[in-house]
This record gives sequence, C-alpha cells and structure tokens, in this order.
Amino acid sequence: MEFNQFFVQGMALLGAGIAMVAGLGQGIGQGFAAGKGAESVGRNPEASGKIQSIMVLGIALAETTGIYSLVIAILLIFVKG
Amino acid sequence: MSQVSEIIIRIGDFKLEIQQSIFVWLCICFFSMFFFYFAGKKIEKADPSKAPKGLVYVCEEIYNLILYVVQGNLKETTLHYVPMFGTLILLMLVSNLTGLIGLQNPTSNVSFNATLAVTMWLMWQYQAIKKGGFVARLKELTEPMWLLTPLNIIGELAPPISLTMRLFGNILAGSIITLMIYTLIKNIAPWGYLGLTLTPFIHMYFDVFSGVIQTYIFFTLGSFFLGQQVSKEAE
Repeated sequence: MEFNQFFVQGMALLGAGIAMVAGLGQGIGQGFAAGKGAESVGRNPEASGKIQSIMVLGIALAETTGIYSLVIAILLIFVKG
Repeated sequence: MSQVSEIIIRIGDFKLEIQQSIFVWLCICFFSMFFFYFAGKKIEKADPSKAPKGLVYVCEEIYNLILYVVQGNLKETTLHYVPMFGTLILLMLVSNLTGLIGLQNPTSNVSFNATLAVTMWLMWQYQAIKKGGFVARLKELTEPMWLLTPLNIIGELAPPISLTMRLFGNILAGSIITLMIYTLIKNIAPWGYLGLTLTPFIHMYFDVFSGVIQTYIFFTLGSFFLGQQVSKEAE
C-alpha cells in the first residue's frame, strides 16, 4: 500500500505530539521531589544547602525520561515532518 | 533550526565541512589554551605568602568550583582524576554559555555530547580494569549469576547514552525555544518589540540556569560512577 507524502508527514507530527505525553510523568515526579525537599527544609532548616543540591540532582535525574521523549519528538519533526 | 554558516575546506578532491557549532568549539579551545598558558605563567611567579589577586585569584576560584562538583564523589584513591574533570567541566560550561552571545551552542550538536560521554565511559572502564585486572573485570559482569550477563552489559552501556541524550535534549530544546521566541518577536513587529523585555529572562533560564545545572549533573554523575569503581575494592 502506497502512502501519500502528506499523510506520512502528518502522522509524524501527530506522533511527536503523542510522544510528549511523557512530560506528564516527569512533571508529577519533579513536583513530588520539590515538595519533599520543601518539607525536609521545613523540618531541618540547617541542612538546607545539602538538601537543595540533592534535590536538584534528583530532579534532573527524573527529567531524563521527559528528555528522551523530547529527543524522539524532535527527531520525528525534523526527520519526517 | 536556522541554516547556520558552514566553513568548507577543500584540499584537492578532499572536502571537509566544519559546522558552526564545531567551529565555535575550536575557537573556545584556542582561547582557553592561551588563557591557561598565561595564567600558568602568572601562577608560577605568584608569591604564595600573599593573598592572591587578579588572574591568580580567578584561577583559584575556578579550582575551588571544580572541587565543589567532583570532590564529594571521588574517593582519595581517584583524586588524581581532578585535572581531567576540570578540563571537561570548563569546556562544557563555556560551551553551554555561548548562547548568550548569539552563537550556536557546541553542546547542541549530538556528536560533541557523545564525545564527552564516551570520554567519561572510557575513564570508568580504565579505572575498573586497573582496579583488579581484566579477568576480575569480566567476572564482575557475571555477578550475581551468569544468567544476568546481558543485563549487566546493557547496564554498562546505558549511562553514556543517558548522559548524551540528557545534555543534548536540554540544550537543543533551549536553543529551539529561544529561536522560536525571537522569530515571534520578528513576525509581530512593531508591537513585538515589547517582547524584547522578555528575552533576558529566557536567556537567564535556558542558557545560564539550564546550562550550569546540566554541567553540574553531568559531572556529578560522571564522578559518582568513577568513585563507585573504587569503593568496592577499598571496603
């Protein structure tokens, strides 16, 4: 079966949009980490520097899945779109 | 992305294309070479009994910054890797900040990121083999049982890909969003010029904050994995 070029393009852009749904889980995870960080600073204000660096590290690690979906979306847009 | 200027070198039939991102990176290497040559001359002449000032002070602060990133994760036995980490940290930090002067980030080119990540990976593997020999290293891959060998191999190969993609995605997304906002400002001119008040904040977030945080993450993880290759043996 032959596909129209515009059909392929449209489907690639649609796929890019769907790929970015992964941002949902990333957002929830980062918000959870930040909330816990704020909670622990409230409980132990002296350790705020250490908590902050660990929190930033954890948030950036949680960002990985979102970044993967972003790379896939960018590939779909620029290679097929 | 907008079409960037490329430099094409022709020697006979041989054609070498240098993209703008790679050209910017070569310029960074060139300038930092001169900077550190002169800084080294200054530091040799500096009087250690007096408080440092000028270039010497700047270099000391750079050294403290590098130690702040990697010292917590490197154990005493791998502290001699600090110069390597320092070079890569400075290279990557300056590369991430070139977006501020309107040039393309070298880190938005995936081959540059992959080079950095593969360098880190080779360092981990070298340290792992040096620790207990090649045979002990191969035995380590079959732990806790031989059925898990494929999973262990995947676990060894995944971190460089993860490091590459995290850096690449962050910096590329930042530069694309910045470019889109500038295009929007251009298209809705003259009212769009009000949007120019917005762009400093965009550069603040996507270039300065994101770039510095990504550098920190990259080298914290890199030094963490390197430190892991030692602690098992030492304990």
